[in-house]
Amino acid sequence: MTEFDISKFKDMYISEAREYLTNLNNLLLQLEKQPQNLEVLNEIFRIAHTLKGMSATMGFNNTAQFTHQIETSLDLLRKQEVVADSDVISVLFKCFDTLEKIMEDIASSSTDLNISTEDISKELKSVIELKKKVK
Amino acid sequence: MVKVLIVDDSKFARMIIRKMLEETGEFEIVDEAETDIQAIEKYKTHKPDLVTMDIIMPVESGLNAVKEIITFDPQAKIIMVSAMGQEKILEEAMNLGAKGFVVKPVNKDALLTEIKKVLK
Repeated sequence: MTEFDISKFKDMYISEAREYLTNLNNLLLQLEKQPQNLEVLNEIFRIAHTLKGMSATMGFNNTAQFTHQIETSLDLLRKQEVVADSDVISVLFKCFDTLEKIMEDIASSSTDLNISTEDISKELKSVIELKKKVK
Repeated sequence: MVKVLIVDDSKFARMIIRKMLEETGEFEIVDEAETDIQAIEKYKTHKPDLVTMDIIMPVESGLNAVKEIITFDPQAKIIMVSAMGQEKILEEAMNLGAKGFVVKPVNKDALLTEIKKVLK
């Protein structure tokens, strides 16, 4: 095994993640106005996917797992299997808020385990299931 | 020195691969690209010995870049760098002419082993 110290890239990870979260919130605002805009949905999906990969690379598996759930939900939206209505968008805003909190915490503690994603994860799962049924 | 072009929409991801390769002293990173369009242009400019290619990125995707680069240079050595769960897209990339792949999160040993295999 070759040693590779990933921890020295933490600041770069946080800086890029914060930039992505700003973009995600702005794109979600756009989606709120145009829920069928596939271009916006694809861009949100791409950023969530990138954030997942970065988090996994840093070893922040809780964040990677949570972002994976968001990515999977967004995939259903862009495939139009779930409607991007106000309920779904509201939960996605909450998800991004949680990710922002996680980034703040990682910046000071270097771990992603202090901020729980359990409740918001359940809420996302539930709204996606619900909107699948009513489609 | 093996000349490498790194393609990924994330600056962070590009930096990780750059450092992993530079630490060995065997690779020269000739350039980086963050979109498929940039990747195609930069491949034509630098004609690198190797390309590491992300899949999900703007403008279309890494698959578009693979297709265009292989059309320009059928001998191009491209290694796909993909997240788990993208097996179908990976298969497509290999069919288009990519020579190898590593799965994110990228492990230095896995990356170097795949590069060695592709450059053989």
